[in-house]
Amino acid sequence: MKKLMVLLAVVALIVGFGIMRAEAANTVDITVTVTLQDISVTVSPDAWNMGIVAPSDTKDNTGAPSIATNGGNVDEDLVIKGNNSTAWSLGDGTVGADEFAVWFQDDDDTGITTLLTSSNQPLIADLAPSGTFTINLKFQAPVSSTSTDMQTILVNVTASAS
Amino acid sequence: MNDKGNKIKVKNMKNKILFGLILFLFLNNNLFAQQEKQVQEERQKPSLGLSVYPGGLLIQKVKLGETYDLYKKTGVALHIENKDGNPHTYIIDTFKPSQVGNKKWLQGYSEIPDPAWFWVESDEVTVEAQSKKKVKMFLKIPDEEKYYNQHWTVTLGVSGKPEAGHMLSLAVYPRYQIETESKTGLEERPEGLTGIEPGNVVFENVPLGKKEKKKIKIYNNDTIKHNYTITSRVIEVEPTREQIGVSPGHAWIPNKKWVKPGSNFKNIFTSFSFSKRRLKILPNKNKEITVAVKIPKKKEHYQKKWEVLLFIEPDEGRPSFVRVQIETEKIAGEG
Repeated sequence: MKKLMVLLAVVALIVGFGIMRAEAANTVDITVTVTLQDISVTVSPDAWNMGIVAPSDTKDNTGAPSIATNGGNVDEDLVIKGNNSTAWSLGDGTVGADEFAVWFQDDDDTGITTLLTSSNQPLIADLAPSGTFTINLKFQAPVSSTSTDMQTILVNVTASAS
Repeated sequence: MNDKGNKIKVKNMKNKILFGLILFLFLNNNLFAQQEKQVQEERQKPSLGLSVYPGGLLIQKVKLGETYDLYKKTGVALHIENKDGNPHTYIIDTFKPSQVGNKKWLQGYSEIPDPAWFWVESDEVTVEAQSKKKVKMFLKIPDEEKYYNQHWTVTLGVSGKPEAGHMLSLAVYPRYQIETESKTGLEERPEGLTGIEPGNVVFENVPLGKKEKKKIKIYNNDTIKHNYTITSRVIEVEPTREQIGVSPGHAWIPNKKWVKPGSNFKNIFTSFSFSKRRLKILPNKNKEITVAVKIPKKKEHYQKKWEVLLFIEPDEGRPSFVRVQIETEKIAGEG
């Protein structure tokens, strides 16, 4: 019995030592480096009150557009996308019953001609820190509406590093 | 006597009224000035403003199978700043860059196979007006051999939750780079169409003026053959651009030509190394190449820790890279 216990103790010691050696070899540890300080965007104003719009009528915000500003310290790309309202759908450029359309002017456009969709599309690339971009929008109302409630149409502007 | 007393009383009354009027004007003016200042301050606050720190992060030497609390491990947390005058709730999520319409991310990195391997402590955070909030970030890469030697990018999305009455909603999507632990002698093919082994090649105690060599393996994990161009590269530092970061404790090598991809062919060209190496690899095959380092013998080259990237660019598809790290010898006689 005594011999067996001694043998087990020796085996246990060897196993323990083996494990310790493997762990000692594995001393590489994670490193984390901040490569860009912050990404920041501001927009003002954030609302465009169109008031009452007749069916199929168009309106634009060029009189009081929203201005996006790169408030960070890195060059930024801005993308834009639209959403349905509670009662209307964002259309494919042709308005219909409960279907509206919105266009925006990107950095390459000479007018408000790019159709806003529910997917992100480039608004401007390589906007320098403190740089600004004017968000010009044009809205066309649906041909008819089943709802008489005021509709809020949400537009998303996203910033990422260039 | 009465007349004189009355006159004094009237005079006192007038003085009191005058004093009261002056006091009223003084207080009103101050109040007006304060209100005007508040109006100016309100005008200067943007309607919507969002800032996210860090804008870029390089996480290296990630061990497989280990759960990392980045804040606990390194002190780095996500900071969300609400820069406008209203409280907002932000939704936080992780994505492959292509999932959020991001077509350009750093060359050399692939999209993380599963963005869920990188997560935050709370996927919805409310930040008061003109305030910041700190959110912890976590990382765990599955313990599978194919995930050694990987260079991935993940997009962290911080998006304002839609709010009634607001037409615009802001989001910031920083991209973070993750490099897993470097390892050789793997039995499983590495993940990715272009696999590399190891991810990091380290030359220690390099004697100046002498050539040192190590090997790297390149895997073509595609279904078609590819021609690869292998070049040494250092990154021109531009603080306002997203770039591949140099490893901590290292500087970019002063001359990338001191590191050359070579050939393993055992012929008269064995001793040749080229600044640009071309290689053809058949589908599901791999090839080994030599990386040769020779640092000129100059006093200023002793005890340096440099890094250079060995870019492996297929004829089609995204490139990969190997980090080559060089520690030059110490000056003789020094400890």
